Amino acid sequence: MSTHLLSLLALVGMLACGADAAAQNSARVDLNGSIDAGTCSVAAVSKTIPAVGANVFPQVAGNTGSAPASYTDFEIALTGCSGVTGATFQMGAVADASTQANVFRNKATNGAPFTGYWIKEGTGRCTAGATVAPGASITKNFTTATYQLYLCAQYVKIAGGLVTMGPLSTNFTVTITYR
Amino acid sequence: MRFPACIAIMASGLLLAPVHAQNVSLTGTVRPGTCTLNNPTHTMPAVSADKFPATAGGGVADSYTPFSLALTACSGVKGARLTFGAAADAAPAPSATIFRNKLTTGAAPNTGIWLQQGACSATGTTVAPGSTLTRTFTGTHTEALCAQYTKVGTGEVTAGDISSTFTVTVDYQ
Repeated sequence: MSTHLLSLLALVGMLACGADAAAQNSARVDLNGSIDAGTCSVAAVSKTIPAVGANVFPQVAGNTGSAPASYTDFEIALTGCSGVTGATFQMGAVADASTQANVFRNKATNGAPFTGYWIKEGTGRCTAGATVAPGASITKNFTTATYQLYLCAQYVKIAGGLVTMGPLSTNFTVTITYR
Repeated sequence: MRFPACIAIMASGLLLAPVHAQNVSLTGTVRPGTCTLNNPTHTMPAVSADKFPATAGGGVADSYTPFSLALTACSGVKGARLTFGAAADAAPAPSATIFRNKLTTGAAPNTGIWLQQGACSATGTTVAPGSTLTRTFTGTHTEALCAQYTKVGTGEVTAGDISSTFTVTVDYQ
């Protein structure tokens, strides 16, 4: 038994380093690896917000104000998540902002002047949610196979002039990084 | 016996976590606001039948009645298009630019009402039934108008009453 053990140790020594200590060489083997976070499936979001009259906005050029009649709930729905313990949602970029940094810019051609989208996050939606500024990140933990990021969009008047008729449109990329 | 550290097994956690990029697209519309409108009613002066011109088309200076259409408390409005009545409000051809006398009993024959933009005159710009005026404004707008009697048709003007009613349709911008 002890002989076998000694022989085995000797064999390991030979395989790894060669038998001759004077003519030594070595073979370095690097084995690299990692376990990535899993992913989820996610669908694009496209929403039409209800039309409102220009008269619902403040009639003072320098004032700001939103339009409750435009409150529109939507979600970023993650499904089929596996090996995911959470995610960080980066909501567009600073370049998506209007002259007011926390308002998403109206990107429509000949759009309604001095308007933008105010987006809020949380189950409180537009009434009690937290403002999501363009480029902001929202970090959420979850352990089930589905997760819904609750959002709400509304029209908002930005300072600088009066709101008159016209279209609104904005789009931004949500970058979802999984953990 | 030496065992050099010949085998290194390294685990790296430095790879990027998986990332999705997903587009969110929101669209919508702001409609124009509105104004408050008055509903002008005016009684025009009585004039003698002999003040009317002999042929159709001329006005009657003694009947000049200036009035205005007032758009007030406009919010979210940058202008409007005013449509003055409709073709059905017009006198028979060839006087289609004149608002007809709509009375069915007691009407002064061969009469109508000539509507003009701005101040009253013998040669003002006619506002014909069904025609439109487009104006740009904010806050308030006053459209000055003038009504006067005119002769239509080929017959004689004799005693009677004149009345016309029409709807101004305002499309906001």
